[in-house]
Amino acid sequence: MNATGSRPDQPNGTVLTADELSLLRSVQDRLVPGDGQMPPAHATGAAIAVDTYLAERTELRAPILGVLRAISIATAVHDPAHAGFAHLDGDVQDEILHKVEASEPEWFDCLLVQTYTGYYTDPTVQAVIGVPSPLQPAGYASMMQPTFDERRLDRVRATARPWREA
Amino acid sequence: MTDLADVLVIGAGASGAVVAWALARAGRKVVILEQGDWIDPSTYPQHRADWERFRQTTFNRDPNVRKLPEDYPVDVTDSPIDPLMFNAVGGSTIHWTGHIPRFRPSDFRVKTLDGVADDWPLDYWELEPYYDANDAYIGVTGLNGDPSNPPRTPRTFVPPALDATGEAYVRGLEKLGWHWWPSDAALITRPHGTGRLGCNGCGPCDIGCPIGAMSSAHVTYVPDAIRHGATLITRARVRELVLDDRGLVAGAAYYDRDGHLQVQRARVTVLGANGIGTPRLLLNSKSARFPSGLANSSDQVGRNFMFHPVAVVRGVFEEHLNSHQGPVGALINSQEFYETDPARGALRGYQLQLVRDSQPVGAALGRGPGRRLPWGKGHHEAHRKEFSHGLTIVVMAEDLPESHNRVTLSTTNTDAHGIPAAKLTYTLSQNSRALLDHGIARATELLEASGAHTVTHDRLTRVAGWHLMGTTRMGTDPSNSVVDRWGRAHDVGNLFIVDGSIFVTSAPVNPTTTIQALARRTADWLVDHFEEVAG
Ligand SMILES: Cc1cc2nc3c(=O)[nH]c(=O)nc-3n(C[C@H](O)[C@H](O)[C@H](O)COP(=O)(O)OP(=O)(O)OC[C@H]3O[C@@H](n4cnc5c(N)ncnc54)[C@H](O)[C@@H]3O)c2cc1C
Repeated sequence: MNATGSRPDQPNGTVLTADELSLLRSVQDRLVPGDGQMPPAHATGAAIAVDTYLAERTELRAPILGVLRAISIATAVHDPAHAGFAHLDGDVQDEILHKVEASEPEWFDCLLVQTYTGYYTDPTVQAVIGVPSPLQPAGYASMMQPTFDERRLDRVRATARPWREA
Repeated sequence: MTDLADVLVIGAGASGAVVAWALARAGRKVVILEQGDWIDPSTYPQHRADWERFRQTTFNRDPNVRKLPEDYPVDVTDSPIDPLMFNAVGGSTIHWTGHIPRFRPSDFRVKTLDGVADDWPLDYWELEPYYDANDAYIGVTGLNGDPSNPPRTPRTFVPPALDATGEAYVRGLEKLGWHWWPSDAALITRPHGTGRLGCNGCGPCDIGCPIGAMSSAHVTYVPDAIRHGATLITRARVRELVLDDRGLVAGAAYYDRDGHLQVQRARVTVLGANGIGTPRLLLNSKSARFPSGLANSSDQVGRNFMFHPVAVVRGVFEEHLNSHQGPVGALINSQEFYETDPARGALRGYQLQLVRDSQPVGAALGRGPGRRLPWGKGHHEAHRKEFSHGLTIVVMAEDLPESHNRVTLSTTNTDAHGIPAAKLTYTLSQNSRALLDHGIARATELLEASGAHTVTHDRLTRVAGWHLMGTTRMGTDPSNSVVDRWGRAHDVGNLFIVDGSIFVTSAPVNPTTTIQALARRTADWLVDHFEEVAG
């Protein structure tokens, strides 16, 4: 990720191996699939974002690497032919994720938090939602015009309890 | 050993900055020691697309999460609420949302009116000119004329028109006939002061304002103090205050940015290290004369800690409210339940701070584990229904001082310089619980009246310890208070405290305008009486 927060396209992560990154992409696509104009996670760089967070925050490594491992193991148990998570049916993938969510709730929650964070801070997603990316310098300047209409307070002025004299 | 200063200020936050400015302006030689650094405005996350992720890291409000070298840990294993603060030039006003209601006259007379806690040794009217002067200097957006509060001087800037978020709140408030008023906000909508731009409504004030629109200490008092000749030393962490043989404070021993121990000498020392940092420092300043900590002959240093316990109540609406737009915390204040009403089963009251809502990541994450938006097929639909469709009410209760709620020194943990960490021991009182329960029910009623289809709440919000008060309280009796009516330590004549530690009671409102008004008042007194008190 560069200084402005946009994400170069990167095949490998700095912390995650190519296999882990690829598994993460497939998992994230189940967590945040595409829907109408909203892109699926893999189209947004959410996986690379998680890799960046892992590089910066070592405390995330145990839960994220742990949950990826748990997903791999659950996949192998489910599919002795070892086709891998990415090749399973969507419903089966979801079933595996639900199992891991139930067995490793804290790790799974960490994955969800970092996936949502990576996804919703992606400029392409922000563009669809309609939030400025980045927020500054534009902000929402037009809403800050000093035009409050004091007549809106007439009822309060007439009925509010006064402060207690002390 | 460095030159002798007239005034040593510890902490460049909301309170310390005021005193540094006032004394430097009066021609005194002022040195400020601040453990943090300047935040370079270009490094605020709002300049980056991925700004929201910094809430989880370096711009988190909780020092135990940030864990930056300039932070010190606070042991919260015995507290249901996490204390929040920021350690940098500007202190916690780097992160504040600038909601600045004043205390009311009754807040200074709690014992007389309600038979609990204590009265303050001053009254509202004595503080009023300092509130007004502080507002005019820092720049405040708001409207005077609220019948539920004493009159005040015209505010610097008129608030914006009600947006969809404001209209939704007002719909409910008018239906119920409750008090409401546009919040006084420490925020400018037009350029004011040096190098500060008007607010452009970008939203997340709580991770710092990159354009200086929030009237925070690092864009108001601190630069002006420096212009008047004050010396600010950053990355200077005070370890303890040092006494002379008369029992007066001779200065402070601090670690400089290279980790070397230095001593800054001064004739008067002023503490503005906040409601946790100040007792921590005093308790760590032990000597033969003060074996249980400096200025602590009353055993009150660290005791009577008060938060404003908070319950967050959130409503979700069918309509799109744009509630992620605009300054997040300072919109509307309802003080319908402010004063004591025995029918509530509790004394004192609470405010309903009606604020804006989450940004895209915040909406997806909800209020913690178990409240994330669902993953999978339904995710986007859920996000569309939540994001910008929510209103958030902060029920903020007055906490009463209790001796057992206290800050002590950790016996197991230290900061990066080996200084004992702070330990917080805090139990929510039955009175505060009852106020919150009442407030949750009323906030739910309001959101429903406004048209929410779903309302949820936290019974007690953990990550809401924004306000830190009471740990070196003011009073006339040196046996049960730490400082006098001017913030001067009873035990040590040239030591002053100006942060929220000196609060006698907490009132149900955000404290910082009162902290700054008190600091201005102390500073004025100190200017007039300097030679009488200086060591
Ligand atoms: C997220 C958030 C939102 C908030 N919103 C509001 C709001 O809307 N309205 C409101 O009224 N208040 C709000 N507050 C509270 C407000 O920020 C504080 O009340 C105010 O900043 C307290 O001022 P202070 O001077 O006592 O302490 P601080 O501003 O915390 O400053 C203390 C300074 O002392 C320094 N320090 C501490 N110990 C040492 C040491 N040993 N050596 C050297 N330096 C030291 C610290 O680094 C810090 O800079 C908010 C706070 C937070 C965290």
